[in-house]
Amino acid sequence: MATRRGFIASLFAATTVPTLSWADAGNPSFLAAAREPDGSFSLYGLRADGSDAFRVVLAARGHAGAGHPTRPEAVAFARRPGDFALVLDCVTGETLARLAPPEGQYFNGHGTFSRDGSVLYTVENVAQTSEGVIGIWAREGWKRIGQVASGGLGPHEILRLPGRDDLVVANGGLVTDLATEDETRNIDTMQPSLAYLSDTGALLDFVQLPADLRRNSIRHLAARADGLVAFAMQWQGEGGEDAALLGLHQRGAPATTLRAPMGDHALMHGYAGSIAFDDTGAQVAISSPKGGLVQVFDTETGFVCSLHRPDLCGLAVAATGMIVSDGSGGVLALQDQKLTVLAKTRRAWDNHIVAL
Amino acid sequence: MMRLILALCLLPTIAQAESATVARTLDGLILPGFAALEQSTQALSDAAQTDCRAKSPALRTAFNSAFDTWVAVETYRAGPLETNGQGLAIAFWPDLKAATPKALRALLAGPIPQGTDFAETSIAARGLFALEAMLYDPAFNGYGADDPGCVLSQTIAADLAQTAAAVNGQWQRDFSVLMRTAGDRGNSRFLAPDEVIQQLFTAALTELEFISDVRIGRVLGDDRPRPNRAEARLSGRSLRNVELAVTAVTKLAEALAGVDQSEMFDRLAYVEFAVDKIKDPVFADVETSSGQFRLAELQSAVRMARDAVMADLGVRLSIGVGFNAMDGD
Repeated sequence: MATRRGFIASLFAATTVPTLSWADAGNPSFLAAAREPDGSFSLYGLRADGSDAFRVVLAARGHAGAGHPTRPEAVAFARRPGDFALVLDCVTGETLARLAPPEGQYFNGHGTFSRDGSVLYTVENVAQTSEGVIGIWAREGWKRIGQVASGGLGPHEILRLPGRDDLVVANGGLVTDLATEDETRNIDTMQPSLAYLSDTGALLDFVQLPADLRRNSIRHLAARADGLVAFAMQWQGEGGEDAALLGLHQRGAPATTLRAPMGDHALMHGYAGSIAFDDTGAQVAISSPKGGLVQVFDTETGFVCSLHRPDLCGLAVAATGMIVSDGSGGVLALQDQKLTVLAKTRRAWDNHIVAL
Repeated sequence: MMRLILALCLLPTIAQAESATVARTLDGLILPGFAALEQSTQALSDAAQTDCRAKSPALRTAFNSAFDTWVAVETYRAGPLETNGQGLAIAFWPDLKAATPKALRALLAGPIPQGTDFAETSIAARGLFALEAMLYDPAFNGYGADDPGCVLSQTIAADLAQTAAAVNGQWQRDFSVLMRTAGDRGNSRFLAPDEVIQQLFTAALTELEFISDVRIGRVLGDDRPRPNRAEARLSGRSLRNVELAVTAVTKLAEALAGVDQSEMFDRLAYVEFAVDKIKDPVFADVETSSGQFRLAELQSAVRMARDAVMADLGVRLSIGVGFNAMDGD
């Protein structure tokens, strides 16, 4: 016979969804997409020591992920031009929702959550024109609730500034021809930019690069607690062999750049694939999978060192220093001008590793 | 049955096969190659000390020998050649903004820094291509034994010898050890033996791409032929460098494959055939339609060789090209 207390208890259990946290997904510190040795694709949660916290199978190649600030939910974005993003339950591995961009638009591989986790922002292109759009989605029911212009062509990464509601978007400036994947159509007129947006998508600030860096497509972003934004660039066409690939910007001040001496700089092949600050914010690093190296800079004094490993690309802030991932399954700690192995598997880590 | 078990026991493990391949490549090609580079650049520096004049036959012979040894090892860009930009300090090319003549003129205008101070100067004023300009460019090579040009040539040659010695030392002492101890605790450069193989495989492909897309492609041009962009045109080495580089890749492919007969080697041999058809050693005839046709044919021969090397070694070694390097975003 059911007691009153038992009845209330069962009612409580039935109507209250227990709130899970990242601890329930094995306490990951990072998200990273990978290609498995058998050719299939997965999204992994990695712990601070480089070990696997969870694995969710993906139907297609992922590019980057966005982790919810508190709940063990990750959004895995397909590589651009992406026609889907998957909201994944990192505890059960279930797909909670499949997001599709509106007709005539596609995802560009990156996104981020609002500070309270109630809203997801996705970076998108209008297919015909490459005009940038930030899609806005409510976590509740995973419904699209709006979109705003990103302020430029070919946006790539979006980031929320740490401890704030404001967002920053990297507008790469390139027109992509979807049929041919050609991106050289507008390199003579391209104008990359950083756009700062409020949590509702209102344009707060807009920064363009000086004329000599105009052909430097801004792709990836990192941000420091004081609002300093670091951006990684990819030079388009010839003639940029001495152009910097790393920029710094604080709202209210002009953007500045950092560059290694020529002998080291040339090894980057005009291409920075990922960017991150270290835990102190004093250092910032960019990676070049084409050159197989990561370059570390002091934000005040400039170039510190180059560290080499083939095909490394993923770069994120860690509890101490930074973490690096590569295409041959290595996860390495970057600290004190050294790379130290944390884990080695047979999977190929994809372009990015995202700190949770 | 016993015989079968015995046979299985005698089969080398995959890791053993990999380390044998690495040893074959290091001891047969890479280490002797960098030792030869140190030796030949030292001989070049000595020759410059003896007679610095640009038209000195001994100096020019030493220059060409040093350049030959460089092309034999330039394939191995990973490692010491990456450190502190040492590779570019040996060979600053392509020089897209004509930085080398600019830097040389600046140095000739003032006191020429020596030793480590010279190593701090513009990388464009260092190495083989700076010395090539001093020896073969009429704008620079008229100096006499008492002119600043003489000191500059000697300084460039001495700095080159020093860089080559440093690179060779780093290969013999450090980087070859990292390659042989792949997967050992504390080796964060190579986390497993197959990563070394992967790097050598990538080096072979990258070198072939450099030959077809840069050495040849820049001369063929996007819109029209550009004979002035030919590598080492002043010293008349453009075609020779292509030939030597293809030979270097062929040797690397043999070391990696452990055989010297396959379609890949037929394709590489076909490049030699296309080289023999080129009539102008510096591709100056690319402005004629037949010259352009022959150079384009050489380019496509190199590209076919590259595809064959990728297919053959890719299967033989069960590896592919870098995941991120190939198609970053």
